[in-house]
Amino acid sequence: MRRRRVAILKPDYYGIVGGFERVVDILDDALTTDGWDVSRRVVKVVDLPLEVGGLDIPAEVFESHPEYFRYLMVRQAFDRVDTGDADVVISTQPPSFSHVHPRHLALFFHHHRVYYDLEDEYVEAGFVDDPELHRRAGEIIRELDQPRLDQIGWFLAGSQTVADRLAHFGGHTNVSLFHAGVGVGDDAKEVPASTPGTGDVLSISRMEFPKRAELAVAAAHLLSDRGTTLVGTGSRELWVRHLDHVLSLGSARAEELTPAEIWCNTGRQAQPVPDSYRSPVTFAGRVSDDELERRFREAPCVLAVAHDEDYGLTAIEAMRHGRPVIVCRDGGGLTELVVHEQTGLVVDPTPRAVADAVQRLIDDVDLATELGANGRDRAAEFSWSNAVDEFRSGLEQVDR
Amino acid sequence: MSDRELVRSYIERAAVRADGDLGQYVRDRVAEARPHAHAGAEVPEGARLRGVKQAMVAASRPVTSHQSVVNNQVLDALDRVAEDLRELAARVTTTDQYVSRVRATAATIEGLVDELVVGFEAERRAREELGGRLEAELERAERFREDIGAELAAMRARQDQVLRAAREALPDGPSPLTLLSRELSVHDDTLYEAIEDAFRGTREAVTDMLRGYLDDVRAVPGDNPVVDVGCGRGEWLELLSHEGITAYGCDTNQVAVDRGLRLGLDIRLADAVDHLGGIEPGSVRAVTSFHVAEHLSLDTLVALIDAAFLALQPGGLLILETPNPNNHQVGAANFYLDPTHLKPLHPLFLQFLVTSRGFADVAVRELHGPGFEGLLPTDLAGDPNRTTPFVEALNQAFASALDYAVLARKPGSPSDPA
Repeated sequence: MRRRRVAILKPDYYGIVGGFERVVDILDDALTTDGWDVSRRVVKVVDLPLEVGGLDIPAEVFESHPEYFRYLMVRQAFDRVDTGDADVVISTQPPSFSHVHPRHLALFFHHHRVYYDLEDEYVEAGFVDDPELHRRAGEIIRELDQPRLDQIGWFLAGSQTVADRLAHFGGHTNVSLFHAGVGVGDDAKEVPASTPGTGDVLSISRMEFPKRAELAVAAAHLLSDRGTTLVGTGSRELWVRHLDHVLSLGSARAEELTPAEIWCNTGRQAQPVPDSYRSPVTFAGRVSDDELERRFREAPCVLAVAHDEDYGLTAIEAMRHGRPVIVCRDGGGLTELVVHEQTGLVVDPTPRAVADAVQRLIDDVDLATELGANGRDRAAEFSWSNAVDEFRSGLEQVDR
Repeated sequence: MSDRELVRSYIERAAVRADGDLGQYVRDRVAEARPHAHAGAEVPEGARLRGVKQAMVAASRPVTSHQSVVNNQVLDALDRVAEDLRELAARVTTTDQYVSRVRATAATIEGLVDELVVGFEAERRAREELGGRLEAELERAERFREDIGAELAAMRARQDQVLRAAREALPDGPSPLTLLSRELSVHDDTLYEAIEDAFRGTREAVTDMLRGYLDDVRAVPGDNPVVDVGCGRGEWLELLSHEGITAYGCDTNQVAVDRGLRLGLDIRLADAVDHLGGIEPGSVRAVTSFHVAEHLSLDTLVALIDAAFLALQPGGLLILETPNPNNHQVGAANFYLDPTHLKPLHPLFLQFLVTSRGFADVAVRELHGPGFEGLLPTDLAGDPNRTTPFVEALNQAFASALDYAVLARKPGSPSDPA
């Protein structure tokens, strides 16, 4: 008997393997177990010519708005993918959802954010030379996306925040939630319960806009007797180090910095910093799983202060380790995971508010312990088996 | 065009191309060009050096006077083309989406058909399996019925044997030997042998007639002996021995026994009923008896059939050959050539008798034609509708088989206990 076919559409952005690839691997396994014939239709972004609908885009024009032109090129490549042999199509990252198929399930984690929910911040931060053209490009992208999004049978939104964005931008309510699990492959192994540690405050974040590792650095400089360790690296690391250096020299006071001075900028003004200087901040870079476990154990609390996250795996990971998590009110998906004074603290996105929250957890060990224990319970809900269940019920919506 | 305008134009043009809306793109360009369509005919107000330009236009008017008309015509035509393009593009998009839907639906239907086929196949297999099970069950029930029947028949045969023995023990009771040989012993054994020599046919002729039973015996598996009751001149035993089939004879006629011994045949002087009743039950492959039954009284015939039943192995074969009284020549005349014949046995009666004593697969086989063709309805004058039944009756009376045999099988398979 012919097995039913499902095609998973996926862009491959320069061979980067991230969380989404892990999600797709797990769903691929689940579908295969359920008897589906799974195939992946990958569009390799790096291979695409600078061309849209037969119009060659000159390199200098492309470079002026790479986000825009690349989006159109990839979208066009997904239009050309043949899925006529598939019973069901599952799209993943943008713009794979623009592919048209009568039974289309979108595994939707975000729009093309710089033209949707992050447009203002992106412009404000100075990433675009010509805000007017950027906004016009955004208008076009949203106009092009709308009819395609309208044809999608069902959305599995990565979080309530993402579901809210779908309703806000396109009025889409044919949505259920899909919470990715934590850990690699199978459900993550149980972490033994422990009381909050007495070591450095821990911040785990890729150093990208708007993950806001800078806010953790600024808050670190307002703590009197406790260091902060930053795990992670990224394209903004120079800027994050520059900010730390400036604050260490005393040339600026953390409390007085504006968002633009802290994180809402391109980071291109960063100056090189000396190899060693006195700072409460330790840059740990990439760390092994074992080292990360150790740092979790030693941390009194974990900072997840990103701006408008889609989901917030870092917070779940911290909760799984029984550590209270500090997130910001504008943290998007993070604020779904962390409930103020239940599993962590939700504060304003300012260095002072973050520092005060850390101090409160250091001073009140009982509170930190209670929030950590609650967090452990909450994190247990984010298992891969639950994720697969959510996925299957989404699939039923289009496969009827 | 400044860099910014260039980028803007690419942003717009790429957007149009992204959804294949080339028509809109052309319309936009036409709209942009329309205000300049008058070029060559007049100079717009506010143009730099308008006076000079007007003079130049005036001077070249004989050549350029139609330019604006041409420009507008070209733009109108482009506008039409753009409109058509938009419509075409919309249709292509609709068609693409339709094709995509149709293909996906076809893929799904293909899957459903596969599922149905698999379902039907499973259903068919289940039915077949059920049918097979029912058949096996029926066969088992049939075998069970046969086994029970055989057991009952064996019990009855034993019981009758006991009764006969009891009767013999009574002061005036006749012995089985007497019963069996009553007809034979009243005459001289030699005389009987002489009669048989005269009327049964030559050894060769008899051997040829018996050859037809070889396959029946071979069909019974195993090496148990064949017992020939009333073996007479021993043609059958000779034939069996020649074919490598173990066999011996049983006869109450001393002359026959002596002659058989001289021929090297194993012939025992014994009452067949006593002999078969006395040997190990289930130890005989076949019991055969050619032209003996018509010499026996009903009691003795029943006793012989019962004794054979006990002696035969499960699946063992019984053959009783006798003259066919359905042939009037036989029934009315030839039967009485042998004065030791008691009375003819109708094939239906013998078949009934054997069946009633517990045998299975009881069949009547007609043997030995009269040596001439029967009549055809057309051999008689008159309406064939009228002559046909009469001819059939005539053929039955005069052209049917001279002899017949009842062949029967003891129920059970060779592996079953006797």
